[in-house]
Amino acid sequence: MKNTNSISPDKELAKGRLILEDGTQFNGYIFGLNAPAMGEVVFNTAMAGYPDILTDPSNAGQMVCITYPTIGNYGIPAPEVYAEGKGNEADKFPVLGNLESSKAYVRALIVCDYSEEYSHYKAVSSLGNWMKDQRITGICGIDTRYLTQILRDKGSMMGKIIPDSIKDSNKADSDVEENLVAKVSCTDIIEYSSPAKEKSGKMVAVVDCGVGNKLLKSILELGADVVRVPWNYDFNTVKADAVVIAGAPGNITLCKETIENTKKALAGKRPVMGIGAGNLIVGVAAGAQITPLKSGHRGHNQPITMPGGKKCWISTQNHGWAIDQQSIPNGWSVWFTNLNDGSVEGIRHNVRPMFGCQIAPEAASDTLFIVNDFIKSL
Amino acid sequence: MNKISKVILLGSGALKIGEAGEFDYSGSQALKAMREEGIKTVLINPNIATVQTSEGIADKIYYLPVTPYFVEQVIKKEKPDGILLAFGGQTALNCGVQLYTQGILEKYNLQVLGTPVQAIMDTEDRDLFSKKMDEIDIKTIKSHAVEDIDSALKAANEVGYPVIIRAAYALGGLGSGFCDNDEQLRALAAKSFTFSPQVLVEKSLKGWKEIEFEVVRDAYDNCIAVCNMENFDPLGIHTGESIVVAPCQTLTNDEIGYLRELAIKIVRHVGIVGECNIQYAYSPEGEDYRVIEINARLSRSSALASKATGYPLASVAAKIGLGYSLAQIKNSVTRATPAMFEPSIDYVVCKIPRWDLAKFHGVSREIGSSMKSVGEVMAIGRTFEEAMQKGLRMIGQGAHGFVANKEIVVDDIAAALSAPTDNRIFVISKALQAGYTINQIYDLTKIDKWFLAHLQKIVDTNNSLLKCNGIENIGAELMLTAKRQGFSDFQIARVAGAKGTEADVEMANVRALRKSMGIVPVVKQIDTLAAEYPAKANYLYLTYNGSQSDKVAIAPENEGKESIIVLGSGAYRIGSSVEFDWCSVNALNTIRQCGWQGVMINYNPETVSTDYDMCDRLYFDELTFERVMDIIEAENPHGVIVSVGGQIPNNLALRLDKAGVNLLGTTADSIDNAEDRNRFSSTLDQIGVDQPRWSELTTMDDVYKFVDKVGFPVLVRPSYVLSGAAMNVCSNNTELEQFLQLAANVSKKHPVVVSEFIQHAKEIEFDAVASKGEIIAYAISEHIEFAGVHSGDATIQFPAQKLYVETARRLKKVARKIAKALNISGPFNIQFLAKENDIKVIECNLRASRSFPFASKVLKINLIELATKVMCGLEVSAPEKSAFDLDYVGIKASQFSFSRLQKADPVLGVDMASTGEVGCIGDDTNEAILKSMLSVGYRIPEKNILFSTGDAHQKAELLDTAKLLVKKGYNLYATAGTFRYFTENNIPATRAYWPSESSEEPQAVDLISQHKIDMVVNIPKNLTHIELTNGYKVRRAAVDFNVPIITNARLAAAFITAFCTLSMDQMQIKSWDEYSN
Repeated sequence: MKNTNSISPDKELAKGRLILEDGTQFNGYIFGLNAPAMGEVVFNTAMAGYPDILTDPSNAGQMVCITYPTIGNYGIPAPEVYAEGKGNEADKFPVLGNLESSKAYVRALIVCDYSEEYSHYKAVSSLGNWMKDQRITGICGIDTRYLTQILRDKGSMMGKIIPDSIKDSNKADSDVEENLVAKVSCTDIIEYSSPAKEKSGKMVAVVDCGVGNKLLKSILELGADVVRVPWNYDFNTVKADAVVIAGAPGNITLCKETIENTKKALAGKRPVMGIGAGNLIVGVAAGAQITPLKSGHRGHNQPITMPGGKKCWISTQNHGWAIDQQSIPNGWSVWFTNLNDGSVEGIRHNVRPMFGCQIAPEAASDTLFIVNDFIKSL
Repeated sequence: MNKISKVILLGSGALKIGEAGEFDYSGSQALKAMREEGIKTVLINPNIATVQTSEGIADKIYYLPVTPYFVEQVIKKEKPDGILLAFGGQTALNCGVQLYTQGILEKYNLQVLGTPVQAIMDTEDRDLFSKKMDEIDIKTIKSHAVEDIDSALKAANEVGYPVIIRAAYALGGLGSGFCDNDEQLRALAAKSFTFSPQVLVEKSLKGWKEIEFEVVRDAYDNCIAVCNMENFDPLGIHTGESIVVAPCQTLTNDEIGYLRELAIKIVRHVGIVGECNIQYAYSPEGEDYRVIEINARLSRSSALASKATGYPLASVAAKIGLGYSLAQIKNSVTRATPAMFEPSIDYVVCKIPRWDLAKFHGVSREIGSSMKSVGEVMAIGRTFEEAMQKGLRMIGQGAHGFVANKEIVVDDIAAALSAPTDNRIFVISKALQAGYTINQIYDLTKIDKWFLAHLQKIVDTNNSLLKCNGIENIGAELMLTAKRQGFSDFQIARVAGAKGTEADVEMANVRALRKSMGIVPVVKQIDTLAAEYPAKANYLYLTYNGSQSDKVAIAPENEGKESIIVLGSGAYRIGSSVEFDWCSVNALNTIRQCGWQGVMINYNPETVSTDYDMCDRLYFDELTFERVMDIIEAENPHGVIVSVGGQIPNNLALRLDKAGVNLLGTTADSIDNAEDRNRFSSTLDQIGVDQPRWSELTTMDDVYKFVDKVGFPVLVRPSYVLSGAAMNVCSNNTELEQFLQLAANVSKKHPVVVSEFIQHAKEIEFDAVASKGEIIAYAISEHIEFAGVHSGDATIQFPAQKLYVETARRLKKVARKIAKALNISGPFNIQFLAKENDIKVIECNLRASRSFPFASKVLKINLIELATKVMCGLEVSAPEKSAFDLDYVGIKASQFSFSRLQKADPVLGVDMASTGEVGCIGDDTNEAILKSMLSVGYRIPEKNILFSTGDAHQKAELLDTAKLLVKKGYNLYATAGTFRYFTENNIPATRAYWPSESSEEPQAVDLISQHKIDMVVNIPKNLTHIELTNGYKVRRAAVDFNVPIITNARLAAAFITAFCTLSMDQMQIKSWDEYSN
């Protein structure tokens, strides 16, 4: 038995507090980095997957409140491990396998019950220690259900975490709006060759507005190669069989260059797929309006359906905006809607192979067909 | 799919180990779902104490055995067009498969709603299942299906020891176990083959994690995984025996995603339409798994998942069976979102099994691959520690949580860790307190270190509290930590209290202290979606891991109405199960109909009372004084009802009353008057009512003196029990000394109660409702067995058939006196002994009794509804006198689960051993008894019956019965004394030999194991249990080889007379409403 992870004794945690934009204060204990933090407070209802939430670029700038109370149970796996294929195909992929990216993007983690004790054969560190390395603040002992209800009823808002050793009782200010996409995107073009046994010979350009490793792997697994370009690179000039626009954190209207490039792409014939907030970029480029959702869809359990059909799927989502159905231009249709609130979760062009879906199709086998069908159709 | 207008639903029959109250929940939900769709429903279920067999749930109810014969008769009569097989456990499923293979479903053109029968068969037969999984590259445990012992040996050597063997088509692991070598395998396989023609030999994966998924699929191939759960105990301990935690705690998102993906792949391939449970073994060192089994029906786990998440699995599964898609079905908890979603929960759930092994003589306390627990609790917290400690209090076996349990003594911790028993969790507690490291405990138990580390945190806090030495020294931080880890005020008082203080007293001070620190629990909702959307959920729990209570919306129709709290019955256990749930549900119904809000407190996931639509608010929480007071403070109710949930709420009466709570109905003082033996005795003396003589004694000399006065046999009840049963009947000095030495110390501190034991007396139940001391309704029922068999095990007929008019008159008179003396307002039960016309009171409970649902349904007067109205202060008029005069008979028969309890002696005595019951109605006693005995698993014997008939009195009692059998053409076998007696009385019989007569043939045990005997009548000679006697070996053989056995002469006579008088086709197929006056 190789399970040798030591379980560290409970550390005395420093006290701290979370203060929201509306003045609500929560008292708790600091774990991870003992330093102040500020950001947009959002909640996520996924019951497992805190390492993925931490390292997903589309969570950049946010302080994430996890609704499941006990967090840290399986520690953090080694970040620099390349993904492997399942089953017989033990291929090594040129992307990391354990985490969405090799660093943490969230501003802070807000939990009810932090578990410094962890137990998993893959773990190399406790969550708190890794957050310390990554310079991410955590706060625990928080009534995360109450916090979630506030965010649900009033909409997401700014918040800050202050260790009690620091005197500061001001409310959290509004953030200076910054282009988070520019911060998380790659800066150079990166090429990935598919390790799959059967290569399709196709090349997919992935516009990095905050793409995670899982999505890249899901494309490579299908035998296609990938060229990953920065968010503001004119991907229309890249030689590829299709374009995938993936991401993105924050306000996408700040990604002006991406939107302009997408407009050009939509005028052409090359297949385009917007994934996650990439759906909003495709929508805006096509001429639709976007509206903020009151509390956003963040979790693993969002049901979507295709209008008029009986098929529906459980999907992973992480977004606070949606395309306004009324504003969808002629020539485009609703592809997916959310079964809970009826909001638009995807659009498609009526004729050309151009799509947007605002979920993370790669996150679960239920929705992987969206990536598969698109890539295989090339 | 054709339009369905009438469906038949098969229930699960009596509660038994492995198949308990969870099917009352799932059947009730399915029936309600059908009713919502305007579909007529027919229910077959002999379990008369269930909610599903009550008025207003199904349109027609048949209290008949769930066997192909009876089901076919009902189908013939009712002509339904659909059948539901997935809601009555393994019993219904097995019956459904038989109906299908016998062509009955086809013959009557019955459509199976939900998963097709072929798919069910694919999952039930392990060989077929394994092949089915191979088709989609799903790994199963390498399993060899064999049909004889030699092939079993061969297979075991091929996969390599250790192996696990199981019987196919068996309930919850019946006839299964682990074997380390050929010898063990031979022994176990022989037994397994008696349960099933097919036995499976598999490689053991001991130490792997056990993970469960509950998956739902509709007819349009939409799939969701509603819940995932992780067993605290690793593989090797049956999931019914394991502590189960939801959601999984130690798996990563990728691992959960992987298993979820496989689960969905499996249900699609099998073709599930409805609900399915999938159990995995999962390697702790890498992504390797095996599918252990899948259950293509609602199960114990699905009931748990349903209560744990708030997702109404049974209701959704039923609607899917009608052709609805998941997107079309509304989530009835949120009433805002569709059923097509996966619940996200924001709390931790712990299910903990409840065992009652101490009730059985000779049973092994070890837990393993077959199920022995009789009930379970579900605890909710916002830390694992909080949920765990709550749960350990809820199981109601004296523990105060994970720590602070002084009473538990473990001699050899290391040995106890590696051989788990029903005490395992407390052994871990003792080990941690004794300084064992997490790694050491892990090595011995293979319980994931994460769980152990969090249990360690409880022990750490315990140690900090210990240092306080006086509760005034507990700081606010420590107090908060302790409460967040689920410590009760009592635990804190016991651990932190100064030397010489009593925790019972100090706990009130702890409560005051923490309140002064602002440390109080908050109320949170179970809303299926982690607060993402506002929910109208009325499912609540309390936690210290929060700062703000949820705002629980009051429905518009409830504005301004006061609430009444009903205290539920807690974990099912021997002596308290579904019947008290029925009482609780009926009390709630009445409360709500009469204009109050009904509030429930209960924590048993196998119940209907914990269903979302049964009350206005449900607190899924502890029934301790502390927690009930917390809820009362939050609710500020009009009043509290303590008399419908059995003994747990009854025991809280005095303390709640002292705390100023408004108890509805009979006063706490009167309850105490009936509960306190001395007070009750002097009350009876005052009103001139007789009871068997008894005395509370503190020395052996006093015991002898008392026995000299009353004579043997005597009933002995020690107040402090070291081992074995709590009560026993002793017939002579040797037995008396033996029992008292073995079981207890007699001393000032631990007195023993000795009572006169009256032989050959009738026992009579008097269930009634009184208002201000006046009886307004009553039911007199009579035990078939003579007194000496616990009333929970006895076969009871109502109305009493063989009671002298004079006796009945006297009974009523005494009951009236007692009702008056105790000024009863509400339900009560008196147990009487009657011999000739002499009557004595054995016991009186000022609460509903086990027989209330049975009596209410046979009488067709809802005694609980009446009692609740009385307790709520409403005017109630007594039913017409003629209502008590019935033209038919009800028989309540007991279900035993001895086959699950290896080595337990199946003999009945003064301590209760049955796990469930049925109640059937017939035009006369013979018909009712036959229906009820067939319902609890007896079969009409084909030809050979083995008799060993006890003492002279019992032999004589069975003489006519034996003659009747001979006349009917049965062959009788008899052991020595009985053989002689039969010969003397010219009854032809073949002699069978006792195990001690080992050189003679045929051996009784061999006849049984070779299935040459169809029924065993074995009446123990004396009233003491002495293990490993001849009788024990024969009785145990009957149980192990699944041959029906009766151990009571009067019951044997009644059953035999019934099947000799009536044939199967003479039994009436009549629904409940067809029996009327």
